[in-house]
Amino acid sequence: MASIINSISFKNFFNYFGEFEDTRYDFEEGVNIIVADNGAGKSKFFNAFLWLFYDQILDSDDKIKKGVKDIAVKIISDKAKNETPIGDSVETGIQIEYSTGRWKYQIIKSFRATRIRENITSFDSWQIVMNDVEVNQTDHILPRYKPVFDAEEKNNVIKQLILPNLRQYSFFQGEEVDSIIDFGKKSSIEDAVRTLTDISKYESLVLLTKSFKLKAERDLNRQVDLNDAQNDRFKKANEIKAELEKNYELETTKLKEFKNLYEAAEKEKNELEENFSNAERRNEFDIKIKEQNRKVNEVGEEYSKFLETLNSRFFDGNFSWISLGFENIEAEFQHKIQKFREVHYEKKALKNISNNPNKQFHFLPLDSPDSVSLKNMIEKEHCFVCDREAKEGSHAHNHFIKLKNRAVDSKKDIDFVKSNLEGFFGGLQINAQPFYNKIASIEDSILKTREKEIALNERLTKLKKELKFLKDQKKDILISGTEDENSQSIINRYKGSIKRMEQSSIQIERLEGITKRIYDSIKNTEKEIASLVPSDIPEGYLLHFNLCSDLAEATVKAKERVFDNMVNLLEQYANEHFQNLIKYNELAGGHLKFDKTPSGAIEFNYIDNKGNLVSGAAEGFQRMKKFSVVMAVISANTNKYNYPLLADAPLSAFGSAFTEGFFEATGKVFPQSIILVNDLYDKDDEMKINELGKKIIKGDLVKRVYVNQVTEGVEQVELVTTKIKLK
Amino acid sequence: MDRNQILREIISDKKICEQHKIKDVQTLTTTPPYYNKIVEVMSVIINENDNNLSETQIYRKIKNLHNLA
Amino acid sequence: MTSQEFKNTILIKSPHYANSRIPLIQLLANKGSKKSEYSQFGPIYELYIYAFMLGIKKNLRLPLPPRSLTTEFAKIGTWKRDSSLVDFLLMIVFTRSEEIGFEWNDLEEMEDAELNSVISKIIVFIEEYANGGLEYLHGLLDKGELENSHYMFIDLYKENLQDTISKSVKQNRL
Repeated sequence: MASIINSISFKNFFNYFGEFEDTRYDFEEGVNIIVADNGAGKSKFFNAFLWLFYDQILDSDDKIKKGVKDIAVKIISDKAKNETPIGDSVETGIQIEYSTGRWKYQIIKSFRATRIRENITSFDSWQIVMNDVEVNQTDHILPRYKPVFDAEEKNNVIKQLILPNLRQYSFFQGEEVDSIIDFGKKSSIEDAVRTLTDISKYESLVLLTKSFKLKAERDLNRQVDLNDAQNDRFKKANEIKAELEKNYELETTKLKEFKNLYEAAEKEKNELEENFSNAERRNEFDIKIKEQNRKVNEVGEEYSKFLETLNSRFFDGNFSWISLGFENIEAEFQHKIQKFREVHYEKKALKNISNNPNKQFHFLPLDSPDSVSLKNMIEKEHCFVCDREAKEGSHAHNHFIKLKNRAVDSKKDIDFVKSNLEGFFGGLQINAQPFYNKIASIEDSILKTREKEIALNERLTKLKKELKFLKDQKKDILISGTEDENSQSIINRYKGSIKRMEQSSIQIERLEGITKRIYDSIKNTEKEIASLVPSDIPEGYLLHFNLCSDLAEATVKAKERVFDNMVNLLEQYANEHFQNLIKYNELAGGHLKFDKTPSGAIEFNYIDNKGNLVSGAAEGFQRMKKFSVVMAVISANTNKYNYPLLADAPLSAFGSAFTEGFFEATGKVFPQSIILVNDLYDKDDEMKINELGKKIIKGDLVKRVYVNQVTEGVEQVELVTTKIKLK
Repeated sequence: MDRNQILREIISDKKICEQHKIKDVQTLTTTPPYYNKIVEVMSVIINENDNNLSETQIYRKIKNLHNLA
Repeated sequence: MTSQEFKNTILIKSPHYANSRIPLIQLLANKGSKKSEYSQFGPIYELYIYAFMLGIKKNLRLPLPPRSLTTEFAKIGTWKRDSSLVDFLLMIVFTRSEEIGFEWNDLEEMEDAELNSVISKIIVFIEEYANGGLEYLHGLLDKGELENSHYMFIDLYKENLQDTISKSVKQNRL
């Protein structure tokens, strides 16, 4: 919906003296021309819009835009100022009415100036109070305006007339055209493109995506670094773990070795213990066996001696077995010796009788004691024959002595035989007694001997049996090592094995401690590793980075594309407009070309039909070029350009050749244009416009033409501008 | 300043279309459902930029789309 | 000669045994320390006396071979010096004085030379009965009938005891 300016009114505004109604310009769609000579209020139109949009006024003295309040005094119509007495106030303001499709708005900006001093031109003389902007709106049906009170809404109403970023293309004073499209400045066309496109959005998106790409890259790298760091840590932890495991292997091997040693020693100890106890038991047995052996030997010896002496019993006077069977010998010998003695003593008696008939036969009866016995009996004063006392001096005792002596005496006896063998035979009888006085008991003795031998044998046998038993038992006690291994070596080995056990035990304890520590370290390291496991860089990071990267690239490209497209479009439009603008110029031909300079600026080059660069053309050409670009900007607006053009057209600068084209083009491009020109003024003319002007105003698109006049020949203070409506 | 248009302009990039298998750019929108991740990401950037979120805030949102920290 | 002298004269005599008995003697007499599988006597005289006794019991009188084929051994007086074994032996001998060929009382009248001759006869008596006994033992040995027990000698000694004794008594009564 285009916004169309319906009217512009001035109140005591510069040369426009009077109320709003007094100075009211009505406008229509299409081209509206205000012909005004310099100083005839041309620039004031602009100032009104400056005030409207920016609360500024262009100070014509120094061409500097200033705040309304700041130069309020200058703004006030001189005449009004003059006519305002001190103490009185005067209002200055502008009023603009415009319509969109739906609404009609009225905007009034004004201030009240109270004269406080004499000097009307001095800023000090006036007290300025800015009035609130007044905005009224109505729909097209009701004629009455309703005030808009909301400040924001008021602003919007003002803004809407010509959107700020487009103002530079539809609201400009003459020279400004040049600056708007300064072909030397890259920014000019960029600004245009910016206006026409979302390029600023693209630009911000470019920045964003670029930044995001960097961030994503940074994040990715951080992840990679973390990962690397993590990797390094992971690697290191694994290395440590491997080292620990190696260590663990070593130590457990050692431990195992020592355990084996311990086991072996323990086994040996146990065996030895068993053996030791066996050895002790063996010892016990040995002792028992020894004892038994001794007994056996003793008895055995006794037995063998016994056996050996068996035969000696033949000849032993205690046994006299040799006598066995010779029972009769005693009797026979006795018989013989008696017979012998009878004869022997007979002889002796005869001899003694013959020699000494007086002597009694002193021959002792049988069994008389021998001299030894006699001697005994003498000494003991006792008779063994009759077992009676025979004290010294007693008859018996003396008898003994006599007998004893008698034996001696008997030597003196006359040898009645050649050899007295009585003693021999008697001696034999007496001496051999042991051999014949127990013959009867020899059988018994033999029996007893037999019995004793048997008993001994049995005893021996028993002992031997016991011995064997003991020996067998001893043998049953298994013992490693040779039978010859004695207790001492067993003890030594036993002690040795115990010592080895102790040593191994110490090592085992130590190593178990070490291995446990290592094991714990390994476990802890594993835990650490588990938490260090480098998770793959979350896929997201890579994707994220890739997306950002792609988008950054694409956004840049898109931006450039959009820019280029727009530039192309502008080129296109510009050419269109250019053709229109130079339509009436004989020199027309060729086309505008937008070229990017190395610096990125855009050059508008006029290329002739032959493809040659046309440069240094007349100012008019330049203006046309610029205008065509401006128009191209307007045309390229994706939304149809819905804003009025308020322009100061330096037609003289255009040159007449272009003026016509300009108005034509303008009419086509802008829904409404208000063109302020001075070049068409002819004061002498009845209509006050020259031929060209007349020509122009004939154009269909030209809907309204005003000619401003300034009262001539009056003092400044009397200067007013009047208008004549021509069309 | 049509967001969709901006989105389409950017996504229409040849490389992106190829890599992310985008057939019909003109159907893409900055509002869900999103055709794919890259569309979503770009949409978020465009939308939140318009919503005047800060760069950091927008970035965080994007990261969230990938469930990244 | 006195009784003692008479006795001594006997006691200094060393009887002989046939050389052929040497193996037997070695076998059955343990003079020294030679062990044999048979029961043994100690000194030779024991065996000799035993053999003599055995000979008397079994009435086995066997003349010795010529002197050169014999060996003499210990004097009788040394036979169990501390005991009256020899006395008993002599008792037996003199009981058989008739067999030997003398009368007791006659001895008292004999001249030394004659006494010596009697003594010689006594020795021969002893030798020959001993020889008989040894012969008997030898025979047993050869036949392998020697009892291999400690009671060998006793058992041998007791054999036919009654017969033997009664036989000798009968002889003496004659």
